Amino acid sequence: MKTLLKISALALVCLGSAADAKVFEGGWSTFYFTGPSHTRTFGECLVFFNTGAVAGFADSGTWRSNADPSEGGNFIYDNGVLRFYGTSNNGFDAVTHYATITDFKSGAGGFSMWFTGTAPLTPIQDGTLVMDKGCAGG
Amino acid sequence: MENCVKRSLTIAAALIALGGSALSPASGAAFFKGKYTVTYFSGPNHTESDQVCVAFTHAGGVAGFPDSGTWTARKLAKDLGGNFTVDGGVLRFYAAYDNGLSVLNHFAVMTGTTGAGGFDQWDRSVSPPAPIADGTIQIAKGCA
Repeated sequence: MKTLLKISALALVCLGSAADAKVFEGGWSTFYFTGPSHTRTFGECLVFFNTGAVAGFADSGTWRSNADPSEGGNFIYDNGVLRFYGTSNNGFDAVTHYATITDFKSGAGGFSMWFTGTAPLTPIQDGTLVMDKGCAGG
Repeated sequence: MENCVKRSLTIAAALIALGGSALSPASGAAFFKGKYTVTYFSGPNHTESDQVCVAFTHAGGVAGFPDSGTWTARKLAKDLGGNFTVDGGVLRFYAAYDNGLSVLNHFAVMTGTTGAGGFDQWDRSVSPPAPIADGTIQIAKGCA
């Protein structure tokens, strides 16, 4: 009987840990600082949907911009580093980002944006970014 | 008077030296360029998947960054080419290949002549993009 109780308690602890496991998702306010002097250029709400299975990563999915419906792509959360990429401007521009996010609350990293096509590629902008969990207005 | 002239000359020489040293980092700045070995570690287990010699050419002016240019890696694809920027110790470099339909993107935090970071590789011809590979990288000056 005691053994049974111990097993049940252990099972409950394990279930609790699984339920507490965080995955990357939700709305994130993202602010861009462009060029070598890192001038703040714009901010937008990016929404991440955890679907899994992007390039074999369990914590991964898709993302889109609330401001620009044509901007979106895939993301991967890999050991505290978020990488997300996609297209905008109806597929004419490519955009890539990365950010170190260890607490699921805020993070910082960099981004690049350029006109799609064949090399040589034409850059649009490049710089750093800051991300905060949550977006104004929900 | 002689002392005054000597002192003035000494001060002038010191100012020139100061001015010279202040200017020298900009005029003699070492831009990022040359051949680097990039090692790819793909997937959630970060399995070593490839090692490529990448050639960086300093051109400047990419998105306004003075320390920037173009890069190629002919082993990956003959038509692969793209841009790089060095921004506060972080190297970002991206490229297109397969007639511009596929993208290979990286970042690396550099410490001296080595660095570590991440990469993503994807097909942009569909929406959302079709992932090809994703993971971490290590980069080191020189190619075998």
